[in-house]
Amino acid sequence: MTVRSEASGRDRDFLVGLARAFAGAVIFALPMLMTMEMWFIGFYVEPLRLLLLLVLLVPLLTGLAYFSGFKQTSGLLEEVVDSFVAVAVAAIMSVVVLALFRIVTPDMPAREIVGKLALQIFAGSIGAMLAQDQMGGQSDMKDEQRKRRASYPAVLLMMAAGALFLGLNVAPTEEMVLLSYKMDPWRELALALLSIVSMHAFVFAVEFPGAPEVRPGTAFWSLFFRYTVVGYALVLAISWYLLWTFGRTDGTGYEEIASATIVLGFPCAIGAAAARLVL
Amino acid sequence: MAGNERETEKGGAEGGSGPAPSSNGIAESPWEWATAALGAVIVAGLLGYVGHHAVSDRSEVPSVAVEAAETVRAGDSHVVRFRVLNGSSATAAALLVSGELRDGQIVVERSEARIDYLPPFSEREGGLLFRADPGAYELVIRPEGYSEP
Repeated sequence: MTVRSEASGRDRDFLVGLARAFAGAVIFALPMLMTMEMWFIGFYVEPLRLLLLLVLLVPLLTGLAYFSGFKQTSGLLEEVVDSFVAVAVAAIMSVVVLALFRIVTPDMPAREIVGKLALQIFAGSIGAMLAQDQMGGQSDMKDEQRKRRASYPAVLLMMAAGALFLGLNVAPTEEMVLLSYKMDPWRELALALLSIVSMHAFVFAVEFPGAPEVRPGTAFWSLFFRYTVVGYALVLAISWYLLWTFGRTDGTGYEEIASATIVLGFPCAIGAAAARLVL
Repeated sequence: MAGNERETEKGGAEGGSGPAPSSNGIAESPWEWATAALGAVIVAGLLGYVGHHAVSDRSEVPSVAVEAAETVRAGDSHVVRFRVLNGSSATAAALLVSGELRDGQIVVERSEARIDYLPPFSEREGGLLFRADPGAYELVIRPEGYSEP
């Protein structure tokens, strides 16, 4: 009797977690599900780049599960399993929504369908993973988990996830490159500086709830270089990677790639900074 | 670039979990400073590069060159694939490229293609479709006009 109710309780927990994951996947991916470029990119993106994106997805999700520390996991295997659950949730969500929109129909070539879905799965599964963790509440977080969460690699991974979150929403659109054509280098430099200042201000100066506690006596430069500058470098790397994945860098001069990286780096930077507060 | 950083992060995890993580977990390990140095180099490098272009000559007018790459038979058409190159720091939008097949002074066939954007110091490719075989005539490809983005 008790064994059965325990088992059904665990099932219920899993189903609630699954429902949260679906909610997270939809929230995260909805802007992309309804963006025209995401459908087009699905069929002209280079297959190897798409593959690389999906290969990077699992370690990213596993890292998020490990570092977010909301769930009491008993080992790495469980986090890997969680990652694949998130991928499955995102896949089902994308199929349903894109089929409803008639963006994916059964008579399309497989390559086109897979391309369209793969991009959405990437975005959706991050949302699914974060929702599973985030909405679970953090009341029972242990000291060890809290420490894990505040560790340097965890902070960088959170920033990367936040950068991907906002960056993915706008990266596929033509506006990213169009803005970089319109802006002169001085404006691009100003935007880069604004990104850096915003990142630092969001996390350390504006005193949002959830901002990390800073040990008294830590020098400004220490925080600035170890977190903000490294964070912005990470943001630039992610920005460039997204542009490359979406084929925006092909046959394009270095100067232009640099500008587009800075333009897309702005939303990525805001996402990275906000992630430290929100996630 | 990104891969290297990830390596460094992992290194940071091992180094940081060692001797002196403070109560809030913000420990200053050598790995963190190494990562900070790498980050500073990347950011300074990018800003320096863009800054260099900010002070160097800026052209107002894109300088566009077109070259035919190859002719391919596709269905009923002959496709002349071409490449447009921008040798300046100005962007051409809605760039119109035309191709004519000439027999002496007579234009036998004309075809056009539009390139959405040709960014600074970049190249883009496109194709002109002809009914007649371009090999039998003189082929003239040239950029005709653009708009400023």
